[in-house]
Amino acid sequence: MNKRDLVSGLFWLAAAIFVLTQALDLGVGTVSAPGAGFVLFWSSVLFGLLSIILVVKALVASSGKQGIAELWHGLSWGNVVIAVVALVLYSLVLVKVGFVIATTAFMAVLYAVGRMKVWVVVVSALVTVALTYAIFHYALQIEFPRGPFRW
Amino acid sequence: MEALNSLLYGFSVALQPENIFYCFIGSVLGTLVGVLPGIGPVGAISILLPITFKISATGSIIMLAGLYYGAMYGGSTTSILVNIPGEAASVITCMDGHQMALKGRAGPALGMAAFGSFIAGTVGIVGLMLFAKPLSRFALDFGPHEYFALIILGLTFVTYLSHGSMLKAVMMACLGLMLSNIGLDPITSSPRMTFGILELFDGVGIAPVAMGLFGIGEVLINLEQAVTQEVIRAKLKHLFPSKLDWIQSKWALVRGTLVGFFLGILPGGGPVLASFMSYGLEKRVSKEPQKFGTGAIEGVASPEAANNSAASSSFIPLLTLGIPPNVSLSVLFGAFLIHGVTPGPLLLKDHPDLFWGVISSMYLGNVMLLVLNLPLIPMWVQVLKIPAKLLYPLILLFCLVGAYSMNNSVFDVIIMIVFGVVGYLFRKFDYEGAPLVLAFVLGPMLDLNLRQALLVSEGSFLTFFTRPISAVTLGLAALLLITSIMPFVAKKVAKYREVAEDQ
Repeated sequence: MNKRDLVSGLFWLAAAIFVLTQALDLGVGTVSAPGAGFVLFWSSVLFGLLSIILVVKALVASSGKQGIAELWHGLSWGNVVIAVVALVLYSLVLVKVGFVIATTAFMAVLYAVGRMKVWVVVVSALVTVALTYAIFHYALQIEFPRGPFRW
Repeated sequence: MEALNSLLYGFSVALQPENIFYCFIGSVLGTLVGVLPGIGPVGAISILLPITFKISATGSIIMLAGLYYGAMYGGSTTSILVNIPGEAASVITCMDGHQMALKGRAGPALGMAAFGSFIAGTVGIVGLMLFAKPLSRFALDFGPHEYFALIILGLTFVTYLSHGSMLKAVMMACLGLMLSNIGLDPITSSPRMTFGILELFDGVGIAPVAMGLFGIGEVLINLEQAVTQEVIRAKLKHLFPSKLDWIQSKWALVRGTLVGFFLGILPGGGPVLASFMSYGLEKRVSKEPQKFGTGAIEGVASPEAANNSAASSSFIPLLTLGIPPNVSLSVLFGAFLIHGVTPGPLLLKDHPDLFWGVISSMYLGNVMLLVLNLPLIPMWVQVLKIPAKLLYPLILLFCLVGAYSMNNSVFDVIIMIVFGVVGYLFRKFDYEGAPLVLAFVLGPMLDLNLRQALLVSEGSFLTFFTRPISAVTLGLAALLLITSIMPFVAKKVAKYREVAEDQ
């Protein structure tokens, strides 16, 4: 059994069923007068059928080394978790605290993942934010969220 | 004569100081992206998209096009010196390029890659210049039937040519089509899968999707790996290939250029496929195929010529038909739309300055790239020494700033992060992002053209086979599908026969 394809196939099958219901709600129409959900309906049907094929193939596969955990075996997956959490938090606080504070904290976290000394992390984060602000805000005139301190 | 006049007009646009500047910036960034493993031209074009808001449409496309073909030049440097391809089209250059470097011939390998790229890139632009106008005029007669058929062919090609499982590639194309349906229906204006979220009424933008899949996703994959790079330390001298090198490579260059040119035009083709195909062809026609993989200079010349020629010719379907043939140009297609310009048969009539300016700027860009890539190789090698712990956070930051500045909206940032995680998981579970992005870009066109064609024909699918261009195009797509299924069927039949004989 190929667990990777089985899990992903089942996930896609659920997604296909969800989209199919959405397409039906929109109205598939007829071949002579296709509705807003026409292409959505047929692409979800095809997607669902292919997902079933993937699931069946995964179930009959003889390969024994297709486990999920092996995908992260021996890798620094913690770095990925930290980066994703930092990205999500950044998107949540960006408008509230402003570009400068949010980005400094974000860069400091990411630089810290690289196991640099604390002062190097802080200085690097500050320099990065200053340069980014100068290039994007002053040179390219992009408006960033200013936050409570107006900067 | 007409082509020459058009070219001169193009140069009058491309040689304006600001356009020279954008061409230079694009070429430098392209080389940088090509040199640096971890981010390819797709991710880089996506990141730069929002920045181009402040630039004219012509300047933006000149810069982004320069980045695209510039990446083909830069990719060879890392392939040869580090054995790590900076981008996918240079993967095959590692085979012989790095072997040459190990034998102390890094200079001629780099030189041949640069000269080969220049020659093929220039030939590709000449082809683009000659074919673009007639094809543009021809495409004016295209209706929804032809467009639908061409999109189907493009999607079939991109799944047919996928690196991994074809089943998964078709699934990704379906997913791309479904995602492209988010937003207002172009015919009835009713909201589709918007779930009451206002930001989704305009649909999901190509830039956050591409930045997520190819920028964030790529960085996340790299963050978990401890990559150690060993740069060849030998002093780089004799960058000019010897007379013998040229003699050995001349036909490889010609074949690579031709293969690249035709595969570049093909929907779903492009530089990556062209480099692999030309290497395979070169090995097949060689009198000494055993030399390949041990440091044969033809193994560097041919794929490098092919990927640059393909990079130029892939602009033909984009500029004349409005159909991006590969994923990088899908993102570039987004850049056109951001500036209110629709690529296609009317581009030449409505925006001749952009059309000819971009084509002419490619000549300029190729010269700049040759200059950038030969004498400055030691500098690009230094770039490789930028530690990953500094590089990856910076790429993430550029993605965030880029996504936010599109609409000054955190929503785009969230979309990008979601697709970043999806891109990471795709890599883990062996799914390809390219068919998804291509289908995502072509999806609205497919939806509109299919429904229009069916409305006109009162529901008859035969309408697609009564018009010669759509009939031939759909026939080709069917042929591709059959040829891709045939080996599988033949294998199954052989297996059953074997079992039957055993019994």
